[in-house]
Amino acid sequence: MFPPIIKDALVYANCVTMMSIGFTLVYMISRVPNFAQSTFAVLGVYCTFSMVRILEINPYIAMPLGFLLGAALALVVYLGVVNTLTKYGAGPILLTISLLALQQIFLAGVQIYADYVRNVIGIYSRGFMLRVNDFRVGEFPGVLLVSTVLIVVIIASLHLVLTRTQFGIAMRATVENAPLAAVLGINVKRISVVSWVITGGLAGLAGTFLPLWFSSGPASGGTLSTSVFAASVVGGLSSIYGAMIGGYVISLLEVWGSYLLMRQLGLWAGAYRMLIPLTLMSLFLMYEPGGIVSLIEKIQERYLRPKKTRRGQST
Amino acid sequence: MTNEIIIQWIMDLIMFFLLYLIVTMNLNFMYGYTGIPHFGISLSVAGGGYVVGALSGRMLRWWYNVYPELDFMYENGKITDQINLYLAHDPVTGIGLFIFILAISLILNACLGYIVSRPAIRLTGSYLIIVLIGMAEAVRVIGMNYYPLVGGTFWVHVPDAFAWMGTFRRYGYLLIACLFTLIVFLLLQSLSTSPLARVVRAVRENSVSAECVGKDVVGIRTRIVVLCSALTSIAGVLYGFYIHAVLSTSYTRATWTFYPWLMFMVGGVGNNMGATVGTFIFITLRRLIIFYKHSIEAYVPFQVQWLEQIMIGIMLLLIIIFRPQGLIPERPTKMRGLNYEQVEDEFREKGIKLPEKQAKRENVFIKRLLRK
Repeated sequence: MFPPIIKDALVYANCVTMMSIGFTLVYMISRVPNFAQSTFAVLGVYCTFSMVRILEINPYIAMPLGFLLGAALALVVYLGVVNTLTKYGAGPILLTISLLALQQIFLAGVQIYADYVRNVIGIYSRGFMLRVNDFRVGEFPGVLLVSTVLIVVIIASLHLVLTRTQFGIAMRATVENAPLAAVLGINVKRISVVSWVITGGLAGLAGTFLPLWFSSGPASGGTLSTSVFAASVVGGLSSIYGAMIGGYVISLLEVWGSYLLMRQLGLWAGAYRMLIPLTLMSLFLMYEPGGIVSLIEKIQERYLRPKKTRRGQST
Repeated sequence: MTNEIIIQWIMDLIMFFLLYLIVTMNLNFMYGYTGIPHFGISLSVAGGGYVVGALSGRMLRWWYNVYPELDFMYENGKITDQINLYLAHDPVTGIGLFIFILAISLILNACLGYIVSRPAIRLTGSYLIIVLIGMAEAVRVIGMNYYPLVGGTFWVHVPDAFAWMGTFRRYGYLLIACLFTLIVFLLLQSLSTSPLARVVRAVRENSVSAECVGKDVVGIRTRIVVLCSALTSIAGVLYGFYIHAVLSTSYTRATWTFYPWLMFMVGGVGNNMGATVGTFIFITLRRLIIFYKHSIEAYVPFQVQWLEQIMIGIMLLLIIIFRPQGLIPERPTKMRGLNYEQVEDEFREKGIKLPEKQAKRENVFIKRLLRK
């Protein structure tokens, strides 16, 4: 009844959207692409793995744990490296290199954990899939329901925080102009810390869902990261709503596109799945660098708003 | 026996130093001089490797007509063994093949550099980095999954184009690698003192003002990426012929993007000497780690390579935090054929202030400290 390809697409889209929201949030506030983010997701993946395979308890206990671990790590990354380097006057390139270095370090840490589990505890720890440990409601797998509910809650609460609270307004002010916001008494550093914590937490949370539906391991962060980059760039890297739209557009197109290609050309086409988000991202950068947000604005400008004369007076 | 091991170790050290030197110098020219953060440099090395793996065996099989009925990829070892027997007495074909492969690789990787940089070369910073990282990953994925190219996740043997050298082969190949590295070094060094380097530095420092004085910023960036991608692929070609095989899984982001970045960050951004020094330090360290790896491996319940990655990552962070300019900082470009003392005198006559020299400023600083 309910085709498995839609389940695939939705679970993947939920994970990618969670991560691209965080990626965009950090980029908007700190102007740094957070390349270490995919590793936070790998951390979440191994949280679920430890819950199910080592402790043999419900995988959903990993959810808060993944969130907290990701958030804590992001806090360490921000205070330990990003903030220190910014104080020393490092530009975005140096920050990028250091984030890549951090990614290598964390990934190596995860690999050590995986090796340890395999060699000492004796459990196969790479390329696992935990679908059987998930609960089911009718024909819907639990991970699909839980992740969909969670993403709706996350989007709604982010929207409310950004539009209805003092803190959200301060956050938006920081995005618009950080020095000016600081002059007006907004604690820019606190806002950066919060944005990094949210990013890390969301990435860890997204990671905890992955092994419940897809085959995962230390490399799953790498495969996820291309989609997340593409989703954020297509979303415009300038608004959280753009990141949401970009996340769904990219990941649904990726899963559907690879499914269609596999049906048309044969199973080998599935291996080149990551080329789809990459191509979409390249096309957007070449023809619409502002992403979907600016595309929507252009369409609104052309068709929905009253036309303006050359001097800016509406007719 | 131990003697033999030491000689082999030193030769490996020199070889990897040369290979990585080509990559770091190009990286340095792209980032240090032009300001293009090329975080996908592994794709050019992989491109060179793929050309070697895909073409050299097939061409020689057609040339010598070895086992035309066999499938090239599945019976790869058998075919290559037979080709090597022919090559042992045929220096002309060997050298011809090497040069031909090199030329093809230069051309193809120049095109590849154009294609991968095209989407985001107009944009700077984060967008470019994201696209280049993605492109490098794409090239790797294609190499790993497209079986006829270099055998997917298996490997493809590369015929020994220098088998005619006999026992002298390993030293001879080292000399050839030296020669090509020297050519790349001299080319980039002469470029870095040419008028082009001044344009390129202007693009790096302030692309808007460079555009205002009529420089085609996007064009210059594209040309530099194309040139450096082509030159970097030489490292891939030399690597393929050195280990007699091309393995698509070896062109990872860690080994061919992250380590070269680290090397020239250690040495100093914006000058070739810095890149050389950084590469040498790093390669020596890494070969030592690899050499002593097995003695550590017995005591820990995981692979030592992860520990190595952690160490290298922490090293890079420390360098970025405490010495962002590297061991050898960048100096102003000296133009060839210009008498600097005369220029300084002229400037003084006209009353133009000259920038203080770095060393002097440091001395003043130390004196002030001592006074306190």
